Amino acid sequence: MSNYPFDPKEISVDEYYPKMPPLYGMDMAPTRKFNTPITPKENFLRVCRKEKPLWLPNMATDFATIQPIVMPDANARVHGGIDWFGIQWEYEPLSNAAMVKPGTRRLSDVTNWESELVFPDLNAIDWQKDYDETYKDCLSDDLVVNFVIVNGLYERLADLTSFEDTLCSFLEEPEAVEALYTKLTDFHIELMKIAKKYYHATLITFHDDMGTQRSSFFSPELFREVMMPHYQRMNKAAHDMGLYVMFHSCGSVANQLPNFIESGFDFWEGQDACNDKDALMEQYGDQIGMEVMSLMPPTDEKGLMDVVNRYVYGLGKNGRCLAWHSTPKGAAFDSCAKIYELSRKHLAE
Amino acid sequence: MSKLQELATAVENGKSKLVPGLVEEALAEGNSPIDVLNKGMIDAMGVVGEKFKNNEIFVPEMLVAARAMKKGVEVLKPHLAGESSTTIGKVVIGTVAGDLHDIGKNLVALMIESAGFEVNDLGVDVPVEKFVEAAESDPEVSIVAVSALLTTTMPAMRDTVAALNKSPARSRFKVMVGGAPITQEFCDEIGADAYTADAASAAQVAKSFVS
Repeated sequence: MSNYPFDPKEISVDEYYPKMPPLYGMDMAPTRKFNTPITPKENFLRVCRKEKPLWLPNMATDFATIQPIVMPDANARVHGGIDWFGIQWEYEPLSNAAMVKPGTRRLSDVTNWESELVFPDLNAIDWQKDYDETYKDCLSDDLVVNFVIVNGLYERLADLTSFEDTLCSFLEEPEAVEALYTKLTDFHIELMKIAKKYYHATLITFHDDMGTQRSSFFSPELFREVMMPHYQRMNKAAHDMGLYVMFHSCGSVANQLPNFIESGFDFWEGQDACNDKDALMEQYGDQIGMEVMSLMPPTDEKGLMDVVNRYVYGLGKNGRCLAWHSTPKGAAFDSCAKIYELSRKHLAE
Repeated sequence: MSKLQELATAVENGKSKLVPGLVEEALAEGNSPIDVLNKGMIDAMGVVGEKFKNNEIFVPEMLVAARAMKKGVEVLKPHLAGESSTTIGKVVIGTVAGDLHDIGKNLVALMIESAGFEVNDLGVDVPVEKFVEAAESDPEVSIVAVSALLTTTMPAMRDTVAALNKSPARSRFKVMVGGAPITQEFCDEIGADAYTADAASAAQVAKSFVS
């Protein structure tokens, strides 16, 4: 018998957490608040500890995902401009995001990184001021602060040089790549310290896309050689700080999941369109949690209920899934509340 | 092992530093420049493409092989000057208007070039008229390859293919399409000749069009 039986009053409240600043260039709606028996943050920590949560954590209701725009990387990727490493980004209206300006190149060659690259001074930003002015009044202690860091190791070198040169350098210039990635990892660890100290983060979402629609860009063996030692060091440092790390990696990267696990990532945020999340959850769910987005869910009762059931009785049946689901406009019912209610009952059994 | 075989193995394994020397040695052994090109390098890239399609190798291995071949071609070029035809066709390639993505398009261009074609890369955000002009102005163009990464730029691909289909020179060239959101169904719907899912397949289909 559960210590926390579901009470219908938990979802009868009509309250919201304060509206958060825009994320990924998108305006945020106020976060729906339920009358939960423990806080969403405590519930999420259960998942992190591989304990059964009381309900399926939902990024749309349980998390405060932030990407402070004072970080040049965040600003450049959202609006275009120069990022932390001097790379020029260009806004592309069709995708409402920016990409590295075609034809530009920051680093002549990876072997020249020490002489050509100026690493950012993280102390140049008044983080406390940004927190006080932008986040202090809207970040609730009850929610999981999820701090987004973009441009992981693969992406950064591709941005600095080119897609092709980066992949070739993994095979042809391993020493230079190793040295650069060591320094970049130091940088990421320092940034995580800031996320923890100033923004009270619990979770880091760390981006490094590395796949096409049909496979990963590079082999699992190459990941192990080039990336894994750095990601292991980074994740250990994060864990030592009390942080958990979700690896955002788009593309068909199922072949890399054992590597993500061995690297120490706690969660994987991947693309549904080219990964069989249901099968992967069965295979790896006990070792790595998975965040699953429902982008543009249907609004009709049956279609929306299928989405809810997949979360509650499929992907989330063992409490290892994080949903990213907002009730769509014009929906037949409040699907966020339904996910909460059904997963509360299911996980209590 | 003959020098041609050594060269092919070096290309397959992406040994850029070895390939130029092996080209010279293969020529010195009495092989014709055309054989060095075809048997020593283009055939090797065919093997690389097949391995990529079968997921035996990944993009980096394919890229270093293509780059190794390029190094070899640089050394071979002066020797090919007297040959009647060193390319198997000309390909115009580009990413459609409104779309700035070039990674997939570049990989296709590289593999098509490695298959023995001459490539005229129009770049990204290419207006319809520019595709048509490039296809019509050069009578040796046998393939126009059109790329789009975004679902939102698929209409631009449709417009591009429609304009190419109206060209008086259309019977001379084939139209190939590709990109993450593109499917065989969409290819058929807009009247293109071929859709391929990856760069190696694109090179194979391109070769089939001119053989």
